[in-house]
Amino acid sequence: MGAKKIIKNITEFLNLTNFTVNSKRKALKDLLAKLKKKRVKVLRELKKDLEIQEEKELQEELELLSFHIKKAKKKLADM
Amino acid sequence: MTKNIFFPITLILLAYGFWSSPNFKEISAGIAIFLFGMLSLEQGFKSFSGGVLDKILKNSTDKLYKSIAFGVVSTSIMQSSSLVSVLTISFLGAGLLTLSQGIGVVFGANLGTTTGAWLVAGYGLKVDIGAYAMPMLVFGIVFIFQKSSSLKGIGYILTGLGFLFLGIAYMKEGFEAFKSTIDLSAYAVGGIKGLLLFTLIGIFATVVMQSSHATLVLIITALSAGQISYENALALAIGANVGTTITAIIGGMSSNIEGKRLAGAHLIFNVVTGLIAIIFIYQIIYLVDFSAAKLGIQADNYTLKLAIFHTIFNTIGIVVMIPFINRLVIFLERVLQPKKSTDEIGYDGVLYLNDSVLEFPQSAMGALIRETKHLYDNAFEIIAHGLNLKRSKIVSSMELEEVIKYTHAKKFIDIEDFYEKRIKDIYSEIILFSTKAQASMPPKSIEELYRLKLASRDIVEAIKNTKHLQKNIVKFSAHPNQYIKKEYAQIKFSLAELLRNINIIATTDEEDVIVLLLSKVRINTQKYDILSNGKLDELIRNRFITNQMATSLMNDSVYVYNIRNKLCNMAEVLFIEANSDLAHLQEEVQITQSEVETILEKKE
Repeated sequence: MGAKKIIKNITEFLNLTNFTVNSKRKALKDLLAKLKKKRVKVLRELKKDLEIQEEKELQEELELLSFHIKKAKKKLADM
Repeated sequence: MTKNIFFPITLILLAYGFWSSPNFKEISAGIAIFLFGMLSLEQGFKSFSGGVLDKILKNSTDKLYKSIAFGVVSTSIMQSSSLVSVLTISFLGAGLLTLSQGIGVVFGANLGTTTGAWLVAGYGLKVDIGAYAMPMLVFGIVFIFQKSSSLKGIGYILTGLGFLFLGIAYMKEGFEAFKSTIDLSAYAVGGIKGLLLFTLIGIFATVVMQSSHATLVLIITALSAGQISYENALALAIGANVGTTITAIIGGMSSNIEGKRLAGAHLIFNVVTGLIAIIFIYQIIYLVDFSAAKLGIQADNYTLKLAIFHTIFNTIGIVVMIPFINRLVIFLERVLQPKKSTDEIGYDGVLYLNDSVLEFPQSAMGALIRETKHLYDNAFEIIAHGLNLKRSKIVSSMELEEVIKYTHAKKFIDIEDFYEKRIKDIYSEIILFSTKAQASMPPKSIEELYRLKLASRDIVEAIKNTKHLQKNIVKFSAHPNQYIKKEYAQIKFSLAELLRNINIIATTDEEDVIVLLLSKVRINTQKYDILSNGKLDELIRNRFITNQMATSLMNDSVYVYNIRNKLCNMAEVLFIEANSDLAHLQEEVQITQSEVETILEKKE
């Protein structure tokens, strides 16, 4: 048996073939959790009595957060 | 001049020695083979250092005790404190280690060299070491002829060890044969005079051979053949320790200021240790005898007792110096300072690029990343001052509306002059270094290197665009037409906001913050573009600005757009760590142009 075949068998046996995809998935999940946490924080801030400029900035941040959360969820589903 | 005379005299003396004494020839050949073995061994370890050695060095030097342990272990394995010292200087020069961490490694390396003395004294002299050398050399050469760099590395290590063993065997035989013709021990000098004289000889021998290891092996073999007295051998060992600093000093001279400081620390450590050993020689000899008795070493086994002596006085040196490491760092930073420029702007050259780091791909990449960050740091200053803004205010928590009210100076800076003095040289060195570094890098790293080069180019392009923009910023910032004045204030605001956001990206490790800010920067680039947001049309239609003002504004909007885009591209490469999770997710989280447009359309 050649060295390449041995390595292939071992990686298959240890289920390491999808290692890159799995680590990407985990990283994306972690990021999604952080983004969700941040969105909750922004929503809480928005309930407070804020100045117009501050409220506008937070609204923009909320929109961006929602955009990235939606995108991350879609990417996760596709993986 | 001295060098020119010294070299031929050495050759003549050696030739005379070879002609007059075949034993001298054998010993000299032994030393030469031994030194060649060390070179081969270093070459072998260097071929592995790209992945393993520099990774270990980076991860195992965060605490002083770890740095010392790394120095001890790596020198024991590689049998070369010079390689460890040069590697440490390279890392220090590249900014991957702090001075105190580097000092820890060098202290440890000094102790690590004692294992060589133990190996030779305890093993090398008792067996026919030359017999082991031959198969090692043969197998080594077979490995060297292989294509794989790892196998080549193993080959160099094997031949290195083979030559070391062969060298020791020749030295041993030479001294044994010498015994029947000349008795060198008749020249032994006792007392303090002998101690000082042989310390100087030890220093001289090590400076010539540039290896304390080779000197030490020479001392041990001569001692085992009874050609030198035990007391004189101890003095020679002290001298070898002091003399070895010459390698570090030579390595440090070609390095930057940090490398020079480390070489200084090495010199101070070895001189202090040498002085302690000379002053307390009799107490240390007593300690050696005591330890030898405890270890079951016979009283007349002087070679092993020399190894004990070497270990004890290096350990004492470390114990004495550890409490003073911070003071030593302060002292070296005060005494060895970088050259300062005398003019107002001040010349700034490369800080982290050093050719000695080129042999270590990971370290070379680390040095390049740091240098590119250094380039951006200067660019930040130039762009901020070019807009007549205060850098300290931009990175503060002050409202940006307030920030743009603070001017940097009464007159605008000369960006061209700034560029010549603080960018051009660093930029060209980065490009040159990248070209050299990619020769020893795997394809994946070359891709990363290419992105870094693009990041440097983006930084330079951003400065050039600022230069074009500056003229009208000066002209319209104090213009009586309130509309054009407001537009240029908006330009300053948008660029100040960009610099602030990039500064946050550069300093945070919160991934969600980085993702949000990078998206925000991309969206705002589009949002602030007066061509696409219809602002310019409105100003012209209502005749708020003249046609000339409109064309100036239109041209400048392109410069602003470019600065924003270039710096955003740069931030994505430079401030997302290559090994971080976010770096693997760039495709997934990066906001595309069509997504930016969709978000902005929704808002409208």
